[in-house]
Amino acid sequence: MSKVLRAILLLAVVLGVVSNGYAAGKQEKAKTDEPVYIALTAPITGDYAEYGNNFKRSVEMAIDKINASGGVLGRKLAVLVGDSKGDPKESATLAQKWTSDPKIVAQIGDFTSTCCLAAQPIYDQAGMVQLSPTASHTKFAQGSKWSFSIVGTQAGEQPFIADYAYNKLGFRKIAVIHINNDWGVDTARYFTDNFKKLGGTITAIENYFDGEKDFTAILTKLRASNPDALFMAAMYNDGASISNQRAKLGWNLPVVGPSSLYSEQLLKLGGDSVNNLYTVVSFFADDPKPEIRAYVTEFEKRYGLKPNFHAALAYDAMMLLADAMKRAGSFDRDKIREALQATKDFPGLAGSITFTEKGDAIKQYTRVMVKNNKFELFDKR
Amino acid sequence: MIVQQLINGITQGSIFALLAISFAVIYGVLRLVNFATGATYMMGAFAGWLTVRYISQNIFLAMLAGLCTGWSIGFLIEKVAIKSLRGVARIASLICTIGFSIFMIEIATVIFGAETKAMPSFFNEKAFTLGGATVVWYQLFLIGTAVTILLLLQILIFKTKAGLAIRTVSLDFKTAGLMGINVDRTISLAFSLGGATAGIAGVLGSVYYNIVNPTMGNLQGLKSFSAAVFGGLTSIPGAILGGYLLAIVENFGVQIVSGGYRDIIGFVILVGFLLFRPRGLLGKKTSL
Amino acid sequence: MFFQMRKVRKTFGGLVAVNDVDLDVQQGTIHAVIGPNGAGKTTLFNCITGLRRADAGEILFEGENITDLPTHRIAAKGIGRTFQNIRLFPYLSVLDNVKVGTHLLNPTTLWDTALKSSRFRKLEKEVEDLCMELLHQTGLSEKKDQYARNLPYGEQRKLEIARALASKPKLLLLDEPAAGMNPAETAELDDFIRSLKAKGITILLIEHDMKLVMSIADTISVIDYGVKIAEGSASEIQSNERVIEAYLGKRRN
Repeated sequence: MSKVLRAILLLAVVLGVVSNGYAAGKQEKAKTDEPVYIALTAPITGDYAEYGNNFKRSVEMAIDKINASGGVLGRKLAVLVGDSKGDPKESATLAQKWTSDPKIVAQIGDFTSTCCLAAQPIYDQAGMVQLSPTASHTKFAQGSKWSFSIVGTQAGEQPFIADYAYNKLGFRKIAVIHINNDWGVDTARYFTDNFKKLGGTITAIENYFDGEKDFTAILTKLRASNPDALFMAAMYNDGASISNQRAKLGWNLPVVGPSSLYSEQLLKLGGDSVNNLYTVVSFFADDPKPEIRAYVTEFEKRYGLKPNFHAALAYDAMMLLADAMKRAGSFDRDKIREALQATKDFPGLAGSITFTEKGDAIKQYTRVMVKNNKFELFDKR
Repeated sequence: MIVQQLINGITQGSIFALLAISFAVIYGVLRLVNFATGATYMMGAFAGWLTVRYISQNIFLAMLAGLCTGWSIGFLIEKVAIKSLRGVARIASLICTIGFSIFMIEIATVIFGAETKAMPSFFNEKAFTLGGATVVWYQLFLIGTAVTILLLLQILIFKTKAGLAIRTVSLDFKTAGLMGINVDRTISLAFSLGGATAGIAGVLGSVYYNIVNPTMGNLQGLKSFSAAVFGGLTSIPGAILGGYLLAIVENFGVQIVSGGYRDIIGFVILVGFLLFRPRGLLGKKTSL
Repeated sequence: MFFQMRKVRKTFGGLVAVNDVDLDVQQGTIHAVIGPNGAGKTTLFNCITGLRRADAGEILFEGENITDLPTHRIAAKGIGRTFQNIRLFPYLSVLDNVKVGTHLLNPTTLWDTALKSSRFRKLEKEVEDLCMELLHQTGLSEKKDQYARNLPYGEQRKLEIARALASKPKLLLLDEPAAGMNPAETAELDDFIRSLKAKGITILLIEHDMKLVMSIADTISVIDYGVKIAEGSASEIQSNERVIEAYLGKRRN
């Protein structure tokens, strides 16, 4: 009996240490003078942990900045972080938790479209803003009046990339590899549709599941279709792995992909294999604009790494939310939503934000490419 | 193209085979699936990464670090999950290995951060082309190393005194004890061996894929488990065969059907074997 | 005293399998334990070898208390055994089964093996020679590479004895070695056990074949319902009233 108890205790300790570590610390700090609470849902652990942690870093940095300049409507802000682990079920469970807590006025997150869509009905029913920095699935923002996304949809981004590939780069035959989730399927579909509309040919389409590390089989198959270029609907991690393995197979060709590839990590992980890669951005860390320089310097100072597109979007989300609360003149959940919906030309780091009626942001894009293991503006060449 | 897929499969299969052996050695002596195998693979990879980054750009040193780390983790898991839970239902130990797995992944996240790290390439030059397929030296190195480790383990298990002890404990630990074999130590040795194999596989795999991150072992561990079941969880030659076959079947599955079906192929094999031939291709009812 | 049991007791639920048994075994003798089926003889053996823990009492071997030692430590003290229901390693070769028995004698480490040291080669040769010698003695040398499970029953019994002898035990526990043997094989076994005694190995024997027991045992202990009811030489036992009662049942009035 005592051994069973020991086993259970041991397990409880192991799991407890791990799962409580993140949220607990934050909550303690927040009790000092009843601040206004924002919930952040992000994959702090699991396959998407590095993206989620960038959310957390940016949001905390934004809150510190807001509080340093007096907070919002005279009150300080605080964030409660929930770890969705990149799992839609967890994301939905957290949504239940946030919406049932009257202290919380709005929610930022989650990272993947799949998670956001899973949690959407809960925010919709409870009436709480669900502001995702990164969900770009076309169905997300239009699914509920409470849902907003600031990344711009694939319906906006992909025609731009297809045009880049066909008209600027002159590719006619493209093979597609995409991750098999809501985002990847959507991205690949919008790209192929638009590329075909311009007169291009899609030679082959292959997909892979989350967590896959070996892409050699898929690449070997795509290679046989003999394309001019490869379209890669992947996060920068997988993108780097795919490129590395492609180079090992001795297959050299240009690569095109969505804005999710824009990250220093892509260069670090991919090395020489990611040269000759073309993508678009709405946030460019080497941009000389002063507000971007200030953000990048501060981020690097605090966390020792360069912020990427996702980090900038999370920062924008928090700043936008604070701005909406100011405009609403209230912390009422419903008032915040109304103010958010009315957002016009909010100056974000990743481009100015105006919401469509459905809650999508309209974005402007800049063409970039990787050359000598560095991101460069394409049009300056 | 067929040649290329075969080479892809054999390279990937080498990693699967090492991990499948790790499962088999431990399952052999204890009839316990060590679900921390994938996490041990990851820890081995991190040990290799630290070595390459901070000590020396030497793959052999990295492999040694992976081996030692894996060995220690295996040893520790046995002490905590198995020995202290002796006499409790087997499920407690099983759950404890899952707990260990989560623990290691989270510890790695806390220490190293969730960001994927770049593992440098070694021997990345093209060795030769064969029927349109490109083979780099590292692939040959990986396959060669895996085969060497597999052979060494085979010799250890079948030709040495310690191996005989492992085999007897696997067949009948009570009688083994009566023959003067220290059952506890033999179980501990099996766990250490399994851990070491997984740790070294982690280094080999991370160099091949050029990445290291806390979750890199999850799918790898699960697939290797299918490979081990495929070949026969109680048979080391079976585990090796299972590892290579699974990878080759998966790769050709991608070629013939689609990449989206790759994992399905692996897990259909797993379920199929569990249902219809639970002892796998080569597994006997009760032997290592 | 070479081997001693003092008031050893073992119960399973309400059943007292071994009831305060005292047993003294003299060095260099053949000591038989007999009794009807279910009398608790095998439980006694299990307590000696550590497969079962005695609930009370002490077991002393060469003056040392071995009652609570783990099985492999007891084996290391020099006590070997065979089983009533054969417990060979079915999927090991005949030779490997015997080699397992030498485990305790063979101090080679993994390093020796890895380095193929001269010590390793010498020891390896000794082990090999000892095992082959034992297989010759038991007539199994021709079948050394077969799986143990493929041997006929009688040969499996012999292999168990060879395995037990491989650890060079001072005290050998034989649990019904003649079970399932024909008269010719039993006669062979008789000679074989005598030859072991001649080599100085003390034998503790459980056996139902009374002809064999009466022929070779120096001392016989009789157990019934877990209690030792008699002890003595073959002739003393044959004329003991309680023994006859235990075996034939109480004469009814």
